[in-house]
Amino acid sequence: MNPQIRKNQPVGVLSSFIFKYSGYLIFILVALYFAARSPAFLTLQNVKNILLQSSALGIIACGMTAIIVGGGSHVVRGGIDLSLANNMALNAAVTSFMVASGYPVWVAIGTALAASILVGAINAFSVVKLGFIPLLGTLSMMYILQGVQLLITKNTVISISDPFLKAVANGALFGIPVAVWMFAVSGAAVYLLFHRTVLGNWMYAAGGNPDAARAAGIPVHFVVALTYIIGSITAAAASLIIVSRLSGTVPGVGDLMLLDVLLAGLMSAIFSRLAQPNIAGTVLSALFVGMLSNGFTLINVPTYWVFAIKGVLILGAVSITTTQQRKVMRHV
Amino acid sequence: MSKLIGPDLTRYSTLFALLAVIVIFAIVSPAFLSMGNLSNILSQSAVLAIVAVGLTFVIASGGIDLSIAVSFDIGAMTAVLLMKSGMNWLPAVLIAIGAGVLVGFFNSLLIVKVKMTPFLVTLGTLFIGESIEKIMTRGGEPLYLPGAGEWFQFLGRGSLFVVGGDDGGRIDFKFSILVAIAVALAAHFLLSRTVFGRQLYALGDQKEAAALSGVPVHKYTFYAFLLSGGICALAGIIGSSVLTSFVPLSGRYYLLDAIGAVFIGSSLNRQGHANIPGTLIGVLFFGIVANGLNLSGINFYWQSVARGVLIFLILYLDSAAARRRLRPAKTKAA
Repeated sequence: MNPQIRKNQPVGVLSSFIFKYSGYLIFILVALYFAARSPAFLTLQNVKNILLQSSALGIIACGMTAIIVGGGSHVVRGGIDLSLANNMALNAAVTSFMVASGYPVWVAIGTALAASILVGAINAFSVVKLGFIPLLGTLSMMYILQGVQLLITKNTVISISDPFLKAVANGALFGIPVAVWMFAVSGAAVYLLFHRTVLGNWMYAAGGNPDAARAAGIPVHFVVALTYIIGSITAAAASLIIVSRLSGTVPGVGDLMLLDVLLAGLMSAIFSRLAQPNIAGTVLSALFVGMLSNGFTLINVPTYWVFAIKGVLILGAVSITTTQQRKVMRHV
Repeated sequence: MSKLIGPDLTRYSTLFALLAVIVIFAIVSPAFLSMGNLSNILSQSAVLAIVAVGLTFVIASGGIDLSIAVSFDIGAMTAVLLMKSGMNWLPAVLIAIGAGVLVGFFNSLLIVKVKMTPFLVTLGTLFIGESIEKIMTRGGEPLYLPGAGEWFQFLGRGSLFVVGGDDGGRIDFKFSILVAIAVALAAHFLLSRTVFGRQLYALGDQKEAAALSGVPVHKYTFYAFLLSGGICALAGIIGSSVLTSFVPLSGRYYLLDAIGAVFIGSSLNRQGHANIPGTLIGVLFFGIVANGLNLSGINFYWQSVARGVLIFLILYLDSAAARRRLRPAKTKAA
């Protein structure tokens, strides 16, 4: 393109507005559509439901985003953790098994947290110290965790009943369920860490250009390792919600969640002006995914259509945003 | 040895690890090394091999394709539906491969024209495709093909030759192994002996640099995804011939194993390029481990753990060897 023309073309107010907010616009349009189709959609109770349904996904997706940010978004060699959803499932299995065998709930949750962090530490070690491609190192961890879960649960449903877990599942503070509070608090904590601290800048730097970051004196290895640990802690937090809501654990609960977690993490870029993965965008993406599932159920779309519509909407949202971002980037 | 295997495989540690695994299985279970069982491993690996070869093109070009699971299923579904409606097997198979190519076309259109990241695009395609399968099969019931023609059945079940009696010493060389070998040879030729292959690797290494030096980046991205879609559809067709039916969502089963195989293969290459000989070794690794663990009678629950630990060990050996060799002049992992 002729640079002369580019310079003389002012960025339209409208196009820059759409560019900045296209992710949000799509979010609102879809919500409006559901509200028009079903009067039950915009009720307080249903909004609470959506928040509740997205909370576990949202928390764990923040962890995935952390790992993508710290490892960079290269398609093959970038940061990714395929074992994250199964880490959550392992945590759920350990908690349920220990409570079912009579240990106090705090011991069970503590042990499960330690197990999750251990998994995160092994991932961090294999990626940072041993130099595995994250995709492959965490894939092998995913296989291991699938097996360990089977060993712990013997491939059966473990049902537990515990006053503390019941309180997590049914309790509410100021009318807002505990799980939603957990979602809000962990989302805010990761957000502050990533967007308001030096450590967060380091993580973006480590992911963007590790060599430059190293040259600037940033402890790249430490920073990348930390993202895997953060991921494992979010997995443990999400597991607490899952265990309390299911009153135990179900085989395969992690495999079901993996793709949604990846989706929310990667889709977060559409809520960002720089088209980068970010925490606020991740929270919105998780809510978007939760809203789609909820809305389609309310307007009675057959379940096997839901995934197709979800896929089309997501591809549509991402492609519109990407195109808009490119159009305006050209002027910047 | 490097002359024997070719320039793609420059790191042997993984090969030795594979040999060690074979030796352990041979000690634990005497039946493992029988010719009959080895031919079993090959025929069990044929379908995964074809899927992984298809994926190799995309990963060589620096992308990723999660929708291979869908190309696989769409290929199988189209073939079975067309033959159910009375079409001859050959046009049905060709149209089915075309359907897989179409999936690849859809992916690459979004990647090249809209510039979305391959991970997201193919994830979206995976959701959409699996949903279409459920819609076509009333929520996921298998489609049976009772009156399948002899030729179609031969694709997946036919034997080229059988040596020995009906006992354990029976060697059954399936036709599907030949298909896998033919696809792999053609792919290997394309990747290692043609301008297309060389430029595809350049594209995978450094997209911007490749574009500046005249590699038709968009066209080659298209080709990589079209090849991946078509080849995976072929694998799905063979899979449906083995079962004489279409089982919805069966492609998912191959997805992660195929990704694992291609990356194990790329870890065998000094530049980390995805390559066909390496991919095949990765596939054999999965086949050998699954078969050996079964034969040694280990608890089913442990098999997944063992598989993960073995991949981990292979990666470890590979990285340890790389670090030893690279210690004087440390290269960066791009």
